[in-house]
Amino acid sequence: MPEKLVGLIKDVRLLKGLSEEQLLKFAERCDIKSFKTGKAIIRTGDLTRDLYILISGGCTVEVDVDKYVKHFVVDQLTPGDIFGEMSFLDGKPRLASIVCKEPSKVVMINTQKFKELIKKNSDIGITIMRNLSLIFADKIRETHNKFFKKRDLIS
Amino acid sequence: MSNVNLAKLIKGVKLLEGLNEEQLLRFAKRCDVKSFKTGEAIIRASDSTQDLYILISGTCNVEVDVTEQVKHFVVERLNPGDIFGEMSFFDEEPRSATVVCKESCEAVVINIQNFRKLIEDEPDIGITIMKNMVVIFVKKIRETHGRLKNLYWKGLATS
Repeated sequence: MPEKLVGLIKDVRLLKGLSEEQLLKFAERCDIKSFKTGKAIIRTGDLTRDLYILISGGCTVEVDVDKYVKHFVVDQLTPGDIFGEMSFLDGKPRLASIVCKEPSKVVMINTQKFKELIKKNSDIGITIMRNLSLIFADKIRETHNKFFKKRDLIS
Repeated sequence: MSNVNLAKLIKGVKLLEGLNEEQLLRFAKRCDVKSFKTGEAIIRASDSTQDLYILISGTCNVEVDVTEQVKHFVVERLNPGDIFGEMSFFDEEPRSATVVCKESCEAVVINIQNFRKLIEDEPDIGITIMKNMVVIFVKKIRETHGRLKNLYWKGLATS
């Protein structure tokens, strides 16, 4: 089973730079789950802490802006994308809901299992944290560009 | 400045939380301290530099040029203990903002090559710093999220 899982996750950005052996150690601590269209994998405000990698299908990232404006779509997820990484790291409530737009399959890892993994294998931990930093830097730059381009149009 | 003094200065900084005295000293060995004058830009938007900074004393503004007309738009204020320059440090893209000293400042500078060597040679330090780093990123994204939500009603975040 973990061997099969490695095939699914080996090209994912989060795990870039890991060897087959390291991928296997990661995969041993993961689960696979399937979700139907319309199902919310994560809900805003939830206190869960799992990290997800979308393997197949597609999801939207939805935010409730206030009690009138709900399900505001802020992002689309495609296979290879990760989600849930923020609460996974800081333990705070989920910021957004993740809703399946089609049947979707995910690989998930629990924060506790991940901590065990990187405690024993700091090399894996450093590689994944570096990839996470890159993913975050990308997200911040994207938001920065989106926001300032819009201001540009206004002024 | 001696490494011992530097280690004292950086103790309590969020990026280095969880490092013990001995690890802080090993970290300090790979850093420099630089002083800047009021009004000086430590980093300029679009520069291709990659150093990571920890502000030790003084305060700075993070400024963005929005358009030809709207320049030096302040998006954030930095206080002692804050880090900056961490995005280009990781993704090697040009600097996205300018960091300007509002008073005389001192910053610890970590060169990217030195940092890579550090996490390779001393993974115990590397894993702790990287863990703190991703948590700092998450905090920033959560803050931005909150700000954008507020702006929603001002019509700036929507189109």
